[in-house]
Amino acid sequence: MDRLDELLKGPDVIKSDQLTGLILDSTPLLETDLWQEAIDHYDVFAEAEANAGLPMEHQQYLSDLRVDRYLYDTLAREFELLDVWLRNNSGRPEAIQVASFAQRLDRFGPRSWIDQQEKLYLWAIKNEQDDTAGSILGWRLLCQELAGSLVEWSLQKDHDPRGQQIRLWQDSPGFYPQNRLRIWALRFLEDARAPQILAWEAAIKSEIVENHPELFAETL
Amino acid sequence: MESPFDRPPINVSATLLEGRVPNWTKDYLATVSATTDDKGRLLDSLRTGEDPTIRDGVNLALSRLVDPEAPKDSQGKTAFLVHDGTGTGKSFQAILAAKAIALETGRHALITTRADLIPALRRDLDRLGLDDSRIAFVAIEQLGAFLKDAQKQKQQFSVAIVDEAQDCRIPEVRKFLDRIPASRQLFFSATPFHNIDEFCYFSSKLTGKPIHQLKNEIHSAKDLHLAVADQLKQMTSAGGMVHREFPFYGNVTPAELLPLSGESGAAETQLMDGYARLAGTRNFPQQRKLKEDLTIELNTASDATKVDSILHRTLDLLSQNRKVIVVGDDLPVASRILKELDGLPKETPGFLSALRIAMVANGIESSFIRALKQNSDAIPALSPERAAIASRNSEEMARFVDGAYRTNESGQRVELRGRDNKPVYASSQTKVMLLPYQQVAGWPELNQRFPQAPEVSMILTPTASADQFMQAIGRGSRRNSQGPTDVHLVANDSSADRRRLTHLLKGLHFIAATGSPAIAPFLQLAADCLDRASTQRAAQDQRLIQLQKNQQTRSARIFDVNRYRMPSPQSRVRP
Repeated sequence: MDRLDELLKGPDVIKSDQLTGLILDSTPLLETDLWQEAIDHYDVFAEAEANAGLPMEHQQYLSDLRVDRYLYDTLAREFELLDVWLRNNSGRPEAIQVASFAQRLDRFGPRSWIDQQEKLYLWAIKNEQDDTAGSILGWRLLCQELAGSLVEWSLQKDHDPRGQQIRLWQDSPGFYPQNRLRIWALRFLEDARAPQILAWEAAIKSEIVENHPELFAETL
Repeated sequence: MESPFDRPPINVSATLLEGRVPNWTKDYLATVSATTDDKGRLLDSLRTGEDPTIRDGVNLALSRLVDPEAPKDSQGKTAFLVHDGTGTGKSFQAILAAKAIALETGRHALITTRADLIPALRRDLDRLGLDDSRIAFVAIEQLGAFLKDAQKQKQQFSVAIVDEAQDCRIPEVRKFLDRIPASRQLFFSATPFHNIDEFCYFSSKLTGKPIHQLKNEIHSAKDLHLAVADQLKQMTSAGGMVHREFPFYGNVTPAELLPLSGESGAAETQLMDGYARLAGTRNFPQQRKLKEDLTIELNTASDATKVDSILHRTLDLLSQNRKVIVVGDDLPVASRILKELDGLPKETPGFLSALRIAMVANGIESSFIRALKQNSDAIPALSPERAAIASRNSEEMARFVDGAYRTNESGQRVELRGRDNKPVYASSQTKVMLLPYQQVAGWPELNQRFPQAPEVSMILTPTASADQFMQAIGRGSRRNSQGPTDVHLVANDSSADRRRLTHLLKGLHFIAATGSPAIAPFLQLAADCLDRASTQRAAQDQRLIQLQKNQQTRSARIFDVNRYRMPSPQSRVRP
C-alpha cells in the first residue's frame, strides 16, 4: 500500500455489533412498543407546506433536523414513562435494569443541542485553521461514516431492536448525524459501537468549553 | 471532423445486448395528436422520421408500464428508466409518454422536475402542438405540499414521470416520489448512476429486488464492474430500461506528464511526515479532519507546480485562435506543516486563483468562476452568500459565452435573434474560463453553437471524482456543438496526482460498466496517465535509492573505519 493511502486510512472506528450487556426491552413494561409507534406515526408531510418551494437540498436539511428532534422526543418520552414505571414497580426484578437505564438521562442533554449544531458547524467552516474547528468538522465526518455503516447494518437486521429507530434514518441521512447517533448510543449503550459515540461528543464538548466557551454561551 | 450530432445517438442498449433489444409491438405514440395543424409537423417527424429515438423510447416505456406482469418494487410500483444522454430528446419523450399513458389509461399523468425546468417542458409541449390537458406539472420542490393535498382529495395518477431523475439521489425526493398516488414510475436521466447506491436504487425499482440484496450481490461479486454490467443487461433485456447516447465530439490528446522537481517531492514527503506526526498526538475527530486537510494540502501543492505549464499551454492555444476552459480545484492552503522563513504557515493560493494571477501578468483576461462553499446548498443560512457568488459567476460566464444579448426591463439577459430567427453571433469578451470542479455541473449556455466561433480546448488537472471529470468534459462537447473540443489532461507524478488518478480511473471504470460510449477515450486517457506517472515515479524513486546508495558508499569511504581506526592500546605501546 502507498504511504499516502496508509496515512489516509485511519482512524479506525469500531463497527462491531457485539453486545456487552442486555438491551432493555421496554415494550413489556410499558405495554406498548414506543419506538414502533413513533415510527408508524411519523408524519412525513408535517412541514410540507412550510417548506414548499425551498430547494430540495434545504428541504432535506430541515427534514434531517426534524427527524433528529423526533428521535430525541421519543427517547425523552421513553425515559419519562420508564421513570413512572420505576416509581410504581421498584420491587420488581426488572427494576434494576430500568434504574440503570434511567441513569443515562444525565447524559441526555438539552434538546437545543440539536439546533446548536448548525451554529457550531458554521463557525467551524469559517475558522478551519482553528484546532477546535478541526475537531468539530472531523467529529461530523466520523459520525457520517458510522451513521452510514449503521444504516447498512440495519438493512440486514430486520428484527434487531437496535435497527428499529434507524429506519427513520433511511429517508434522512442526517446533516449532523452526531444528533441521532447520540440518541441511538444512549438507547443502546450495550452495543460495542455506542461508547465511542459518547466519548467523541464528550471530547468535543470539553474542547469547546476550554477553548471557545463563547460557542456555548447562548444555549447551554 | 464529422459531427456525431448529425446522426441519431448510439443505441447503447442494443450494443450491450448485441442487438437483441426488446421490441415494442404497440405504437402508443400513434394516439397522440397535435391540437393545431401548423405545429403538428414536428410531432409527425418524431413519429415517422428516420430517427427512432423518441418513438422507441416512448413505446418501450409504455410497453413496460402497462404490462401487468412487469416486476414491482416494494411499494407495488412498476418502473421504467430512460437513461439517455444530453440532447437525445428526453423532454419530448417525457411529455409524449405522459400524453400517451393518460390516453391509454384515462387518468392524468404527473410530471415532476425542478421548478426552473418546468417552463422549458411547457415550451416543448407547445412546440409539439400539444396542450396540458391530462398532464399535471408539479415542481419537485412543491411535491410534499402537493401530495398532502392530493391525499386529502384521494387523487390518483396513471404515472409519476420524473425528469432529471438524478435528483433521486436526495432521499427526500425518493420519499415523496414513492408517495405519489400512481402505480407507475417513469424516470428520465442522462446520469442516473453516479455510484453503487444510486445504481442499486434504480435497479431495485426496475427489478423489484430489495436494495440491500442488490448491494450484497454487487459487493460479493468477484468483479464489481462485471456484476454492474450484468445487472444492466438483465434490466435492459427484461424491458426495464433503454440507453442512448451521443459519443464524445472532439480529440483527446495524450496526457502531459510534468516532472515533479526534487524540491516539490521533498515538500510532499515533509507534508506526509508532518501530518503523520500530528495525527499521532490528536484525538479521533481531529485525526479525521487531518485526513481531509492532508489531501487538500497535497493536491494544492501538486497543482501549484502546474501553473506555468498550463499558462504556456493556454497562451499557445489562444495563439491558435481557440477558446480555453481550464478546469481544476481552487483550494487555498495555509500549511499546517510547511513554514515561511519568518515562521508563519506557508500559504499557497488555490490553483485557479494562481493561474488567474499569472494570466493577468501576461495580459490575459479570464472569466473566473468561484467555487461555492461545500454543503452550502443544504444550509438555508448560507443561501444569501451562495446567491451572491452564483450571481457573480453568471456574470463571469456571460463574458465567456459567444452570442449577442441584451438586458430587458426586468434585468433578464435575452438572446438577440436575426430576421431568420437564428441567434446573432458576437464574439465573447473573454477567451479563457477558469472553472472549479465543484462548479462544473449545469451551464447550458456553454454550448459552442456558432459555426464562426473559435473551437474550444479544455485543460484539466486530475480530480478524484469521475462524475465531475465527465461533467467537465460535457461543458465542451455538448449536443449541437458546432465544432470539436480538444481535451488536455495535465498531471505530474506526485503522490497526490497518482492518488487522484487512481480514484478517477476507478470511477470511470464504474461509469464504463454502465455502458457509456463517451467514456472510452477518457478511460484510456486516465489509465495511460496513471501508468506513466507510476512508472516515472518508480524510476525517480530508483534514482533516489541509487543516489542514496552512492552517497552511503561515498560516506563509508570518507568515514572508512579502517582508515580511521583508533590504534589499539597495545599498538600505542612503542616497541
